[in-house]
Amino acid sequence: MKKRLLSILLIALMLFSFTACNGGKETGKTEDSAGKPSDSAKTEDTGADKEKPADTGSDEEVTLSLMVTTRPTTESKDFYLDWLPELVKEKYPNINIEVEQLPTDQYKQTVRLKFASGEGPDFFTWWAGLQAKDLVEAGYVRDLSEFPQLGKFKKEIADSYAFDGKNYAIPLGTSFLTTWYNKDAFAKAGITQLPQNWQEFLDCCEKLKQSGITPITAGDKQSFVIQFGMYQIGASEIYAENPNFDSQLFTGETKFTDPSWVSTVQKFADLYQKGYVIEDSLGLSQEQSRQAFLDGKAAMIFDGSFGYDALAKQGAVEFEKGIFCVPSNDQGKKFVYNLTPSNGIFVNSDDKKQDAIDKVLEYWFTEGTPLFEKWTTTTSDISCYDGVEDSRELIKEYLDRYKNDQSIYNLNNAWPEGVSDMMCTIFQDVISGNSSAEDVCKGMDSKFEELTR
Amino acid sequence: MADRRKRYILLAFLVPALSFYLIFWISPVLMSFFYGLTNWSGLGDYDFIGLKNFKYLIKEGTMFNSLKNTVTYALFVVLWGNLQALSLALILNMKLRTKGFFRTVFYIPALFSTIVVAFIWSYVYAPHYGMIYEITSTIGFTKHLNLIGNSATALLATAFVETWKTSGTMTIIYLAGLQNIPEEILESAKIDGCGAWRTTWNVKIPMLANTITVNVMLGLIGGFKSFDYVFALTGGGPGKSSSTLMYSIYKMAFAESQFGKAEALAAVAFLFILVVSVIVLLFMKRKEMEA
Repeated sequence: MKKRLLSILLIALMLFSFTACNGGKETGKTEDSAGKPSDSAKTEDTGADKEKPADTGSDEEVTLSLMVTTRPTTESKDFYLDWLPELVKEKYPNINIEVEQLPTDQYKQTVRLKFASGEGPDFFTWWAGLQAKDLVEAGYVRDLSEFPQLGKFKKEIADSYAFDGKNYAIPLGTSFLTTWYNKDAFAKAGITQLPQNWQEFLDCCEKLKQSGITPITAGDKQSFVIQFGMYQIGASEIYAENPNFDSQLFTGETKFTDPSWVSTVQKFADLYQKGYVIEDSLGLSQEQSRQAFLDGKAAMIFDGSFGYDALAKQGAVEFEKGIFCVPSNDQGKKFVYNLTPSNGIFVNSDDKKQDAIDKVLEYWFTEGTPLFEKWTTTTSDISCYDGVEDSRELIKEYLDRYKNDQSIYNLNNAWPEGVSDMMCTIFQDVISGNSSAEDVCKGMDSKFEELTR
Repeated sequence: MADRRKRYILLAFLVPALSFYLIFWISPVLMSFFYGLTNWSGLGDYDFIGLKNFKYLIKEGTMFNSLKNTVTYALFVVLWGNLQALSLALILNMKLRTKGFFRTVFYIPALFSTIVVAFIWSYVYAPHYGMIYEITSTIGFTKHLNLIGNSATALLATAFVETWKTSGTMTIIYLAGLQNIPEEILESAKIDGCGAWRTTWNVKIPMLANTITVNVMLGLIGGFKSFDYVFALTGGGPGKSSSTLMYSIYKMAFAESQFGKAEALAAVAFLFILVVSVIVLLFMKRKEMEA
């Protein structure tokens, strides 16, 4: 009996370890974070009382930690991993930069956990709007309103990182969601001009299908890619009529079950139901889907300007590429496209290396310095720095084509984290035929209500 | 008196390890149950919200769906994994000239890291490019399997990868069990007229009762812990069709920044797994005694 009891106890302890170890880790972090916000705020307010920075006016070695998300690059040397540490070292021999690069999913959790455990990076890239709100409210990031070069950036983009009138990031640029297309396949299907409204887009898909060409490829196994198509459609469908949709969500004047949202999801679902999207897209990853596009297996892919390096290269088949925004508007109705702040550089508020960080940022964002030149020529973001134009023909042509149209930020910029995830998860069920557009919208509403309760 | 002093001294030696265990293990676990009753986002302050997290878990179906998927996954891993490993062990225990070579071959998957295995299988399963697609195309099939992109098959396709990876280890354990069966018993069975099948069914398998318990418990715990292959192969999808308890906890905490809710689900997971594991263990022990 004793032995049996002992074995049951041992099993219980073993199970404890794997079900609650996650919680255990977080708990430790909570203890740190619980008291931290007020401490951090104090540190910021009483800047004069701060401990003297280690590197002020001396040659003492300082190592700064930088965290960035993984970005595809065609260059042999990456800006963040190679050029930035090298050029800073050349200019300031006592400053070393250690860069940590992670894919977006892991990146978000790692940065948050590092901050919660008091080990946040010295500076890091992060997203604008609501996505940065928790970091700002927790007091983890520094007010950069006084940064001298901030005025050089487009104000509306810089302001997307502002909370309570204070600016917390240096914008790295903008990006847009777009549809990459195979010009040769379009020509083969007899499509002579880009679609201007939803019906023309559907006609275009139908012509491609009739010509034996799969119209669209999608890596829906990684559900986040669903956003690329959904937000392009939603731009015109929701915001042309109601540019205040996001603020109305928070006041309760509207919901995701609004007909404009249901129609957005339904239009996207129609593309799958009509057989315009590659078969078995739920089994393809983003990378495999991009390869399918490059190999000529489909004529279009929903992606973004951030996919430039990955999609501008040649695959198994050589063809000319173009980009356009899906026009979900009805004929004669207003068209809206996506143009959104990509990332900004945030600085740890609780850092004792502020002088060194300031030196690096000033060097990085001052026109004419070698680091600035390297940044502007290698970045995949579209510059929002005064006087710096994007040199990529496709991007220039795209921005020029839509310069007179209304633009909006990526739709999820206005939502708490988790809503877009719910949208993508249920939409996978729509693709499988197990859910409807209404289910997607109800799920988003329910998650939004839960997160803003 | 001297004995008591000796006992105190021995207990004193336990204090550092016990304190370490209590501070860094037991207290965080208990704290995690508390956080299940809050709306902690992983950053900053939180409020006590009572049982609201549990209410949302039930309302949105996450709790039931994750439990159902975890049980299905674990059952598949236990049943198929053991059947596969036992069959392999019985074959590899035969007097074959090449058994050394095959024992090595079948153990190879166990040497790969999880991420490598997931990467290999993502290409085996990939539609339009994968190994299964190429094979079925070569044979002449026009309708192709999309095992991880289909909500009806994604979970079991993922569990199959886990059994592929763990088959080597389970086989080794069964082999050790088979080699521990005394030769005399097998010979007596032969003298009594038992053929190969009867010897296996009536002698070898009952004699493997202890080994079966070990492998069933290992499979069950592996199945209940299922996270890595789900994360790497399906991301819990399509929809939530392959979202297991551990994956749901991870997603809630790290993708949706709902640490409080994730802790609530972790508490449910703990209680569920504890109860099921104890019941299975007691059942297996009773079976062992009967055998």
